[in-house]
Amino acid sequence: MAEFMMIIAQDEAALQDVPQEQFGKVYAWWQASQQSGRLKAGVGHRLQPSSTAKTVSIAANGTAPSVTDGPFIEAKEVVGGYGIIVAATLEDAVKFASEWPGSGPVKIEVRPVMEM
Amino acid sequence: MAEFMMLIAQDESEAPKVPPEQFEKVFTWWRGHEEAGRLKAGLGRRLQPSSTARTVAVKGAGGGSTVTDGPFIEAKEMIGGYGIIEASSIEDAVQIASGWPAGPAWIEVRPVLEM
Repeated sequence: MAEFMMIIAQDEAALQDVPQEQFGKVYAWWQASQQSGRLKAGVGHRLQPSSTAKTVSIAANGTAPSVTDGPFIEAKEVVGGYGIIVAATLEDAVKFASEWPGSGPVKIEVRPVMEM
Repeated sequence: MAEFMMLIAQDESEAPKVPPEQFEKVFTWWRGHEEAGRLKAGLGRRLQPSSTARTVAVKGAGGGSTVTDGPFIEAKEMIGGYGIIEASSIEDAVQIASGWPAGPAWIEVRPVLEM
């Protein structure tokens, strides 16, 4: 089995219209997937809105880093959370992510973790 | 103390030019912070290049989903890994991230939602 990162991206403007029971559905699915070992327990997180982010830019030449408010990239969809899928192949990991029970729209990027 | 996600973004086209000793520097820096409790041990990951990614777009309202190759967003800077910082404020978390020993890199620091 290998690990795949699941990066969950959403349109934050649309999130305000999502009914509360949708979050409950995702939460229940997440808990069940952790219990069955398809999601790594204790590893995923949900993040505060991107307006709370700060971005540190590190230069190549050793000059002091600069800090700006906001995410590293301004886009309609921003990262809202992540999890680590345990699966045999990328295809299996994608199949798992496709079971996302929330109402959407949501984009889930699935990417293999590098073995260290 | 609170948790802050550190999303590490890099220009992947520059990655092949990065000398191996830079990776070694980051590894040593990371280890040091884990041992000191400033980075949560066992939680961070480094990712394969964004070309290996697939994106599932869930439409909502029972509309099913579609799968495409590539990351959820095409950009010059791509997420290459992450870690979870333990700090008392976002300012302290930013200070830890500012010590990242190998540029160029963009590190987004964001508070984790308490569940």
